[in-house]
Amino acid sequence: MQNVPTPTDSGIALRRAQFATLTEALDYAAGGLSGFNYYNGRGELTTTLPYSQLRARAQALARRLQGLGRGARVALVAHTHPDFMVMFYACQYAALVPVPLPAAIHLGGHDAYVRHLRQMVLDCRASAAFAPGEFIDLLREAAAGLPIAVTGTLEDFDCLPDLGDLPPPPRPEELAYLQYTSGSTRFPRGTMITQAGVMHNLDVIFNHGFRLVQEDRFFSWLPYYHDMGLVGIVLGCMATQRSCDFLGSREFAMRPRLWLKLISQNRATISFSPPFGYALAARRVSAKDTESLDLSCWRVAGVGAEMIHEEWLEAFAQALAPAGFSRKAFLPCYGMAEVALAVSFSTVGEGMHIDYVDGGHLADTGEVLPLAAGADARRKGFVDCGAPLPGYEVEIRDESGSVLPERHVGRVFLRSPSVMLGYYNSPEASAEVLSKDRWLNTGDLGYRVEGHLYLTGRAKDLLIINGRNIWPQDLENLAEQQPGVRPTDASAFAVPGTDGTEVAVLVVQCRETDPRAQAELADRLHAAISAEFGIRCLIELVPPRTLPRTSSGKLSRSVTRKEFLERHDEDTLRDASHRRYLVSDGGRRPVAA
Amino acid sequence: MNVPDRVEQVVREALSLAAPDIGRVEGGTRLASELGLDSAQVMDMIMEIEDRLDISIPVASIAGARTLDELCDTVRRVVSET
Repeated sequence: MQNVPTPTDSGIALRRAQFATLTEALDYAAGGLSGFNYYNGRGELTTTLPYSQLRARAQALARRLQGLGRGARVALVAHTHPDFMVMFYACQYAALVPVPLPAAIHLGGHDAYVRHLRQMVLDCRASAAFAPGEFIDLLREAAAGLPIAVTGTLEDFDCLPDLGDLPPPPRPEELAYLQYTSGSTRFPRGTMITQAGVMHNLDVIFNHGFRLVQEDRFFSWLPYYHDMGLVGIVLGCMATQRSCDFLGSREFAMRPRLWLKLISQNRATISFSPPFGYALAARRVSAKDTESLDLSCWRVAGVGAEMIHEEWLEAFAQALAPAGFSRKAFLPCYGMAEVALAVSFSTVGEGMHIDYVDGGHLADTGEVLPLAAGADARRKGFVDCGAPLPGYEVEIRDESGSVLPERHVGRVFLRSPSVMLGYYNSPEASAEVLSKDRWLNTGDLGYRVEGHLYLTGRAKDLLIINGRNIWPQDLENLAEQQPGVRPTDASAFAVPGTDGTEVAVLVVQCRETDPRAQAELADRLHAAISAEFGIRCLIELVPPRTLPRTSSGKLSRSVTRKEFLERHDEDTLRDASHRRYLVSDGGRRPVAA
Repeated sequence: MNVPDRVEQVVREALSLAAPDIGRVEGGTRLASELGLDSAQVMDMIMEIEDRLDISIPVASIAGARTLDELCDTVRRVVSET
């Protein structure tokens, strides 16, 4: 009977990711009893995959995969499924480069998903492509006509001929994987991370970020195609011989209480989530639920991947306090796929620390002044993301590239052994963010106090909605494909929503004055955006020549955003979120007396 | 003639629970783009359908379901395969 999850105690000495490569790490983990466990949407255990079994299956499959040729890319639709694990680690033993691809589909999003998948399979020049059963038809459609040796499920790959002994295992300087979390849907960017790079990052995370102990057990619903899920969990748990219990991301989104129930039941000590996950769970949990939960075991409740909202975490802590959850378990952190995963963690066991500053002074000067306690309209709070992990150099630079002193906001630059080699097959995109001496421009804005990092926003125009990165170019491109809309007629950005969320806004120059034609355009835009991204977007139609341009004639998203906020007061925006679209004359609203 | 079957009834009930303010929905109404359902509402709706019919709807299968009718067809397929 397969109804017992792998034990928390691996039975072998804990080694915290101090290995040269991933195969070396799995060779060691396979000597113990721990491993991965899969739960379904009813909270039932469906599959256990101890590391011993994972290694045996991965090695057997690797003998069949090695014919693809050392370093060849293998695209893997990264659905939360044990077959993904077997394929991923088989690629490691065969010295191939696995490329996890998104497994997120929106209602009616068939065409957009297939197109997106095809872009990435093309971009990484995949030699083979894998999907678990329920995604295989979509993958086959995406890969149709491409020069790919094998496209199939695990069963198809198992039918390849056994080519005998495995090739020499990957060397530390070889690629461990490509990850497509950065980049837009039209121009995907795969971060190239080496074995040495990812092992260095895992080593400092689990020895310094939050030092693991033999009693630690993970729970995760994070998608495998996201850096927190892939590197932190799929690789991190294995490299530290920890057992991890998985719930699919969609199952979590539908039934967030299962997250808490399974942590309580299996006595997990570590689980990470973007802030929206905590908000979702807090909204769904009832007083009655908390009676049957015991979350006192949860010592590290990691928070990352998007701007951290204090209120969301506070709501979660309050709702779950009766179940023994401690707000001191919150562990804010900062990271990105370009450095494998993590840059910094706040201090374990201290909860969230917030720096309250004078927002007015910050806006005027870029300098961060602490503000005494008490209500103040100018007060802004930023979360302490901790000191950078060992091996990191961090600089906060101004627009001219000069290094800024503490308490000044600028762009965050990083250098470390885990910084990516670049974006695969994209020398220009790589050169934009990576200097010759290997400093990475994160595109994030922040400041430092006593060495600790505080993030304040983004210099790049990226929108982050529910933890998902959306590039404004992609939204603008959807608009520009509509009849009657021309290139440079659209501008996309995010504005703060009513409850701390970000709301996507798309301003489109529209030549139509007939209300029916305007409504039709808005409908087509909503259709395209929801199929492609699964988000609601506020659409504003404005007359031609409304969008502001820079002196060089380029559209300025930041000025468009500023003017948009000047055109509409908060009440209009709140109201507008229930409406299909706004039509505006492009003028500014009269300034209230 | 067109009596809604059990699946359609369940789908409509799930939809009105997930998005209480929406009015009359036609079979050809596009759920995400026309009704403006966001991903959280879609999740709520799918969960209700799963719970009421005691089925599990595969993630990938909702890709082809743009309209209410298409969603009902998807659910009917899952029901018949269960």
